[in-house]
Amino acid sequence: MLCTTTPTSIRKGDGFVSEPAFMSPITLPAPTGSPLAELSDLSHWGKVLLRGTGTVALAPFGRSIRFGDAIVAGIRPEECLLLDPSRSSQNLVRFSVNSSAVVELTHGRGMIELTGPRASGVLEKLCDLDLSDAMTPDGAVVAGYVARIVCELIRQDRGSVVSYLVVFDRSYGRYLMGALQVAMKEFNAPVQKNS
Amino acid sequence: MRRLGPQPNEVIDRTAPIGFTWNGKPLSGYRGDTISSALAASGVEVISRSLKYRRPRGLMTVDYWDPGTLVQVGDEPNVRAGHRLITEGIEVSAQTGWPSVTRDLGSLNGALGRFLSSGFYYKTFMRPTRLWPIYESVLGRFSAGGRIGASPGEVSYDHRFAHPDVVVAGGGPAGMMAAASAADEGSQVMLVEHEHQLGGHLRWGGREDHVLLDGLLKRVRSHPGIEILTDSTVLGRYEDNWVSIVQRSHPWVSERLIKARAKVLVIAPGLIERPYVFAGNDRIGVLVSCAVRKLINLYAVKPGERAVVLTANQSGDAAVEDLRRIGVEVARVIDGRKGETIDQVKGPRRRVAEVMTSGGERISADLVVTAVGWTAPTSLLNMAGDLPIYDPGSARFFPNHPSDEMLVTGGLAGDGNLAQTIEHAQATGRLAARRSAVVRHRFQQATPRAVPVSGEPEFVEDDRTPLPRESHPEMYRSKTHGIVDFSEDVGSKDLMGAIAEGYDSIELLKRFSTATMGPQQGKLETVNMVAVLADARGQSIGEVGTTVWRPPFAPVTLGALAGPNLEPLRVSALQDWHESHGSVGILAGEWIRPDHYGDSAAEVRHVRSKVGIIDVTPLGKFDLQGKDVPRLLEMLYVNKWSRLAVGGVRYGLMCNEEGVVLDDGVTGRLSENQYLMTTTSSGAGVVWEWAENWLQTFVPEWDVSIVPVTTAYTSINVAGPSSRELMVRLTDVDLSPESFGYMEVRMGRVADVDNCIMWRIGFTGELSYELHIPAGFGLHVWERLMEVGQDLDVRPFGLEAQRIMRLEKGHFIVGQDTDGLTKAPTTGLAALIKLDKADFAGRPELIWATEEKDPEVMSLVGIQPDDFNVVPEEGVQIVEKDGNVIYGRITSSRYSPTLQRSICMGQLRSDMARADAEITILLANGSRIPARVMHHHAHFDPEGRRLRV
Repeated sequence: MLCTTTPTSIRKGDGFVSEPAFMSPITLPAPTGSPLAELSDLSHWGKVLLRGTGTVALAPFGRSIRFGDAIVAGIRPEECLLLDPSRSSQNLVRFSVNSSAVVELTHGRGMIELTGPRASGVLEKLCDLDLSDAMTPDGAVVAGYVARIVCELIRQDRGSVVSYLVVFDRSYGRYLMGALQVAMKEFNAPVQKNS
Repeated sequence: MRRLGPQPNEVIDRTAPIGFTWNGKPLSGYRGDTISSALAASGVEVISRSLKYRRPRGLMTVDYWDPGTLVQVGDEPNVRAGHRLITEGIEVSAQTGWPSVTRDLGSLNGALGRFLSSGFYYKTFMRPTRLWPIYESVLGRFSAGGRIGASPGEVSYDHRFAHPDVVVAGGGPAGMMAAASAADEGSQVMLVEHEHQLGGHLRWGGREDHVLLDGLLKRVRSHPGIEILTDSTVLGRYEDNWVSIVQRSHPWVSERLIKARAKVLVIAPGLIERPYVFAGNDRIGVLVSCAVRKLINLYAVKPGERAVVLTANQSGDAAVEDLRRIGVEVARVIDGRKGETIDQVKGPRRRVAEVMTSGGERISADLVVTAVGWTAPTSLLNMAGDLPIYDPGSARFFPNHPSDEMLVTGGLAGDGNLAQTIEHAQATGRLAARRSAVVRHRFQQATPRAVPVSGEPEFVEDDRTPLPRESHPEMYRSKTHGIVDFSEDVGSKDLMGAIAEGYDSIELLKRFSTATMGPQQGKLETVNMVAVLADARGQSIGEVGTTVWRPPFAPVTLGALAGPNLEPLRVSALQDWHESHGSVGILAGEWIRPDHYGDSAAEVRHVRSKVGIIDVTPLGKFDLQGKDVPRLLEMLYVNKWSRLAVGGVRYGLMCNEEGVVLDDGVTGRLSENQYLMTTTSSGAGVVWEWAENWLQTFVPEWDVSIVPVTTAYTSINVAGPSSRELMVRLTDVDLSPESFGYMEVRMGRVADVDNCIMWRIGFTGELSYELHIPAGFGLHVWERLMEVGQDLDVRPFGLEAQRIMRLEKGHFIVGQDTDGLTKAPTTGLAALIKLDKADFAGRPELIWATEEKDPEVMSLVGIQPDDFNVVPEEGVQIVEKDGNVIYGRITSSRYSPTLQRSICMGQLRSDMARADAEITILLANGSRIPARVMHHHAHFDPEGRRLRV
């Protein structure tokens, strides 16, 4: 099992921070070749659900906004998902100040980044949403089925390269990775660890 | 037939010879050959036998719809030889004929032909019904369906979802032009062609046709807005232009089903040449004109030596020219436009040898070519509810009023010369693009994530100049009788007989005669059948109407429909550990869980005597926040919640409006405004919907947030007499019974992991702690438990051991021990129902149910068979002692390792559900055993002393 080591809340002894491994719900094989589509495991990112009318100001429903490294995605009306690679408490305080409910989902959700010129082609095989630039432009957020499981799909391009963040229930991690790997075969696309 | 010298526009590559076998005999063809063309070039005439009369069948249309060319290729049956390209080494064989396709004993059926009229099958084999297995066995041997291999072989299927602006069905000249035109206007276009190459009839046309084809090919292939799918078929059109496409040409999969949501569908399938009905029309050597032109121009195959051509249109005329060009003697051109026709074709061994014309001539020939008209494949329009209109002047059907998002062009829309066709197609593409822009605008306006648009786009009117319709004689049947449906071996005489029996509506005639119900699904025979019926009824074809074409337009494999194996499977963060430590998995809903680690009975004994740990992650969990959470809990559960203190845990029973048990679980109050609710593993989804239904529909003003967090935590139950001793080594929470009592919750650090939730409850009946660990650290905590508990002999236990222990304790499982009629008062938990609460889901029904004394209402009871060693199967009935009156059923049963006896739970009539009542259980093997109703549901430790220590 490949694990992603990140700062954690695990402590050992008085004042000693041990930082044992955070276990990702997915396992990525070694990369090969030059990819048309590439997978990265971002499951270790902080993921916090923010609810309430105050969240609308952060990101409207259907859109995601970058705040430095962090992303706030309006996944449902009056409901945002804070995605924060640094998992900083400052960000949490900053973004949750107007929320009526704050739920820590870092451990409950896995997150994959699918990026590359054929990223949409991979998703087209598993997801019935319209991923065209008009319907799902850079910054778009939508909940839908990917490989028959409900995911949040957040388009956050890397420069001019199409890129999607796929947020999913962690229990489906093994299954979803299998489905994505099969879907990527025809593009000769490797999956790649990239935390 | 034999191979010609190089033809100007042939599609075969003579530098790439390909070897294959036909019925075991080695043959060769060239790359680009279909099986049919390669067989024809090799001199093979008989490819199959007809279904009923077992007549020899060969080429007739030389395409996908050729009815006599279904063959077996390796393990794959029903391959369309007129379409499938040959590849090196394929083994092709005939599907029909015994001992061989050329000498078939089944042809004796032909002598019995007059007894095999329409309805013979229905009338003969329906009685006596007891003989049906024999009939079935014999008739099965006459099946023309080929054989499937024992293994699936190297095949794979997948799906793709697409959202093109425009789907163009048909890649002929009109389809290509429409696609290019739409793409020029900015549309994303999917151009779908059934054949292996684009071009339609231009491919086997003359020089002018090929100049046009080359130009169109350059345009569509170079256009970035056009995706071309050849060897692909638009199978169906459903609501909102949901279009299904099968792609057979994908390099990675055997077949791919594309589900396309087309904003506009352009229908340009061209026309299908219709055979002519006359005596002997199914003899080897009778072909339609397009077939002859394809053989000559695409595959360089000489179709015969001496031909008679019946022509009523340009296609027939062009066939005459082609035949003469390659040196076939055209003995006679019979002009249908002048009223001439063919009466009969005769010849030995069911080959063409002599043609008798309507003028009384007898002409020697080995080839008969017919060009008598076209069938308009209006399938996609039919599927959208558009019933075509017959035009007697053009002798074919035309679209009626397609919807605004379906546009027709090409031969389906009319005739005209190439320039007119191209102009119409260009206008169609432009219109499609503009109308698709309107649909796209509407979609974007309605979708929050989409690029914002403003204003209302105007509807775009159809300003196309209609294509003219050419005059064409109505030629369907000669004065003689011949075959109408070549797939099903149904002749015009059969149809007349059926009509005489009263099957004189087109839909009845179809079903009774089976005409149009074979592999070609009416592509060649529908209109001829309509014509026969019209003739019999003395009506016009328009008055008779046509049958309705339904999807799929062409056959599709079940594999393509099913697609890839996408069956979602859930695992906990500990699954890899379980698998590497000998667990045997069991599928529970979508979850794969450890059923046991080798010996579930030993696991039970171990938990009862020492300590065990079990992964209970699938347990449904919800984070509840807000000041009105107690009100929601009061509403959802039958018991009271308002006084649950912080740190307290309470069991709850949930009912629907009918008072029927919906779910159960425990909820703990973590802080003033935060709760953790647990549900059954399988009930989590239902409970979430149920709670959201209340919050969003009935009490939207309540301040409650409910979020599923089932997998945010790895849930571990530590159970057994030594569980406290184990837990105390890993947590700083005070676990003394005084500080942390039964049915309480604490938050704290476990195995150095913060923010863990612990509660003292247990399904097993032992002292136990249920831990909810942030899932990313679940494995760490599990391994630490195993590590620090070595001296306590801690062991993992699985689902089966837990199920045994819960049955020993008499805990019911919602959905197994209860059903859709089980109301809360009958579960043994009547005391939990607080009818004095102001309101809660199911209260009115529960008031009634509590007062009800109906003896037939089932109650849940504990049951023990008298024989300690007989474990009744779950689901068997509880019956009267010497009769068959059913009193109830066993819902759960196991052998208890703790009590060393059989134990059960069951649903029993209320008037019998009293302690010590003697009952009889009818086992699955038919024997009966005596049993006794228990005082409690619990078979073990009914007072609960062990879990309260």
